[in-house]
Amino acid sequence: MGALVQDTLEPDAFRKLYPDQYYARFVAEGLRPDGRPLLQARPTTIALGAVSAADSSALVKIGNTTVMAGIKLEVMVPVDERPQEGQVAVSVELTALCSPDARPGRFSEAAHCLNEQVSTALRSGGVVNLQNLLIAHGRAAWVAYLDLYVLDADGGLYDAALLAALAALAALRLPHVDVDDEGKVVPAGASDAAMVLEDADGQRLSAAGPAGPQPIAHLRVGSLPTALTCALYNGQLIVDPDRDEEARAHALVAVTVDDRGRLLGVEKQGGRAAADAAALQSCIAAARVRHREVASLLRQALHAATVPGYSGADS
Amino acid sequence: MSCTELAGPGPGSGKELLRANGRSAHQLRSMQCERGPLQRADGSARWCQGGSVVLAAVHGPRGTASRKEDPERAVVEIVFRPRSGLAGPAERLAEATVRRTVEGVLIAALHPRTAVTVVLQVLSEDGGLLACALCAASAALVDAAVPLARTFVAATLAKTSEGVLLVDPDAAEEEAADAVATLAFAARGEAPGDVAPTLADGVLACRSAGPLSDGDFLAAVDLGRAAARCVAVFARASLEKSLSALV
Repeated sequence: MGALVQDTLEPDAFRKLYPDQYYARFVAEGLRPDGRPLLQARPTTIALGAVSAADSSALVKIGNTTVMAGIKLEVMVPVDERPQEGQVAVSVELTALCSPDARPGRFSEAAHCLNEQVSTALRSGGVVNLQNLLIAHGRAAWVAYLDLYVLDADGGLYDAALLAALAALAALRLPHVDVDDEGKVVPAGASDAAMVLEDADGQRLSAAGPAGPQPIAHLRVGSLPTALTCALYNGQLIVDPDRDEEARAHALVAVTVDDRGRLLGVEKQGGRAAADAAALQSCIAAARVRHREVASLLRQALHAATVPGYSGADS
Repeated sequence: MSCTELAGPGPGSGKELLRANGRSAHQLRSMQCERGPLQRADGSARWCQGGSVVLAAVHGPRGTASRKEDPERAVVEIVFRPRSGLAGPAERLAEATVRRTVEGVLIAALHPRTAVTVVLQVLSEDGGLLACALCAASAALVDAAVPLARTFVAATLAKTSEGVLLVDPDAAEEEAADAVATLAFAARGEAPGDVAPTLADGVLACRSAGPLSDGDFLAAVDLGRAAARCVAVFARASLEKSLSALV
């Protein structure tokens, strides 16, 4: 049917009337409607410090997909089971303007899924050593509220959200704080309390506790996990699909790898097509290639923001 | 059921290792499947995998809110309820995984503008919950006689810090493990006279979390297929038993 109409229809009409045939013809030629080869990801940018009010922030764009990450630090009392650890609390919001399906109000399924995926990747990659967030043993620790806002949803949300979260965490500076005689957490060298915490039972927070306050300028991330979503379509592998391609794909496979070569996650949420071992292997290989691109971009951005430990050179 | 111990594990499998719960590394927990425990649902099943129990109810295909319906196919709605409390991000991700898995096997074009709703209620939780929920959903869909291209089964694997792959871990083993992977496979369409079900080559759904090497992951996929085959044999036997009770 497609062959009959394609000679007589304008390309734009063909795209609207026969979207599947339109797309299939592109893929058969090894190209995509936006001009990319099948294995090429969209141009990616990382802008650190996009929000001045946040303790750390990053704006990541992958093609049109835009995700903003912001971190706000607060002081908490460590939970009894983990007296030496702070917390990272992730929350994700798909803003009402990001796509036609998004609605304001309650968290959508997509937002919850993204939250779980990003939290899992950060946890299983050991990105944040929670003990680095400790201020005083059992008394005070940082909790980093990591908020992710999807501003424009054009496919590959998980890839962009994880990258934004990672960039914001890697650029996070922990303020130097002291625990004063009153038992309050105060900025180092300041007598008036900008950030105050009193112990629950009114006890003083002791600066000479087992760990003591150890000033850490930057939160050092333990690894750099990045993700790549691949679409399976007619037996072909398509890297970094946009929103239309995701809807047309027979199955999606998201692979998370880190800079130590570890495979942190492989996620395939069902779909019409099954992925055999060869398809999974090519997804993993594509994710490793993409990791080198993205990690180098991230290192350059962190170097430009003078975060210590990043030379700006590739790995 | 007899087939809970995998035959012919790969090299260096540590099959002889005995776990804290007395199983060998490649031994599944005993399974139970009760078909049709609920009277009001169109189909239902209770799937027990050791200490993990999930009750699944299927409603539909039936009409749905016009905002959700698709003019060309049936849509799938999944409700995943934890044992207690409200559904959080983990449950919503499980819902999405089960939904896309069901969408992969449902012959959706037969019932346009309807919805198939699968409600999954966790009754008891002891590891491998996603796989248990997938198996329960599959059994309940069969019980509801919703047209499916294939049925599916799932299995869970855990990689211990010593690098051993454990089949069907319980909650303690999952907690201690470096990485946990859940794999779902579609049963291959079979001829009426087939003795044992076979599984399709490709992975229908997969969710792994935790650091793995490529080799470990591919080994986990192979082992997951072998374990899922055991589950499929059991599911088939349980279905035959429930059907023969009807005659």
